[in-house]
Amino acid sequence: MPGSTPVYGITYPCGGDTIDTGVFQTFSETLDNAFVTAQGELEAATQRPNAQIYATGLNPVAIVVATDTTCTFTTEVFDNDNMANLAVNNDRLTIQTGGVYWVSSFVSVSGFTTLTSVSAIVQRNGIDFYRYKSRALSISADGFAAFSIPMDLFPGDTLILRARWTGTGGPGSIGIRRLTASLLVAH
Amino acid sequence: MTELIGTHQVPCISDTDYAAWPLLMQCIANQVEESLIANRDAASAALHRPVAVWQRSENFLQGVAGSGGTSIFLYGYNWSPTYNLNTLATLNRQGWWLVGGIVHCTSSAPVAGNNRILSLNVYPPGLAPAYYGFDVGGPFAAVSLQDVTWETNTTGGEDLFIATNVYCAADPNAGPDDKGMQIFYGLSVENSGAETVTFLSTFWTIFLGDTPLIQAS
Repeated sequence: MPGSTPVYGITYPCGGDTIDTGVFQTFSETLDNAFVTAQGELEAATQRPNAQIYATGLNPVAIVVATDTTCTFTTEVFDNDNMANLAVNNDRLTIQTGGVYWVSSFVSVSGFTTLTSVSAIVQRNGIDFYRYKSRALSISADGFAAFSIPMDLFPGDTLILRARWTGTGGPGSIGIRRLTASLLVAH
Repeated sequence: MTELIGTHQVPCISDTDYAAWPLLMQCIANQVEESLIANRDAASAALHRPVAVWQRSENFLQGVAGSGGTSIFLYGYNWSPTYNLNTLATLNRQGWWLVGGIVHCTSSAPVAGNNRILSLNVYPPGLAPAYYGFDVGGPFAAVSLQDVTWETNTTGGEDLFIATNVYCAADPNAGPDDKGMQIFYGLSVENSGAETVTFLSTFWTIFLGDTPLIQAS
């Protein structure tokens, strides 16, 4: 009666078993399965969930003055945990693996007459989690805001990036925008 | 004659040891499994590094700012851990940490010359957190971010105080230290008022037993 190791199930013959080619084949196959499982465990640690969604001014989003406006995205830059599904929801990342994430954003606006401030806002499940306001660096070119923060997130949580500007003119448009979520530590 | 070979001392039988084959294969299987379990534990430790997330939801009254200001201690004072992998009331692993915090402040109205100062500080074991007089013109004047202001939150969001600590890597050069309170990072927010949200984050070498705090004045 063959035995096997308790965790990875590597099968080996016991005393009294006939040693034939089938025994060696089973031994080799279960060894291979164990290595495949171990490789997956290693990859889970080294290739942590990461996703980034992106769009440029070729697909602008209209934004009127002093109004929080949701960014939409056109491109999955990378995504190894199915957080982005732009064909269904083009405005969000949905967390699949719980843990503490490093969430980064960038948003730029243009089309104003004068620009006083630009804000980037990240929402978790539709509620503002963090708002960052950047004073305008110029009155005639693009304005932008960016931030990076840690967030404790759970499977199913959604992340949405919004933008806001103050000044005169407009309505402006949201140009380049980027939203990234990278797992730092799993729950 | 069976020999143990290689780095992992794997048993290798001779062509006359037919009866030892089952034992040989069992030994190899167990050795392989032991090695894989060790690797799995190492990978799991890398994925589940020490982390603590603390949150305080109720309001916290801050003292009236004046000359020297007043300090409040946000993190570590009546907070609730929302996630705490290693019971990190203090940081129990020496190394390189990412320490961050978010504070949602509310005051009556913007006041010219009324400055808020938020800072992340670390207190070593045995040093009780205490008043630390930050004020404009104080130690943070040179590093204040005068071009940054904070979005007025008009959406009525919940009060939010969150601190996050994430252990990043061991620091082999870090040793026991009798240092005093260390300032991680500070921001001076000019003309502050209304509702403001700010965030502080930095990497820092942590010693065993250190306690991080967010302070505001």
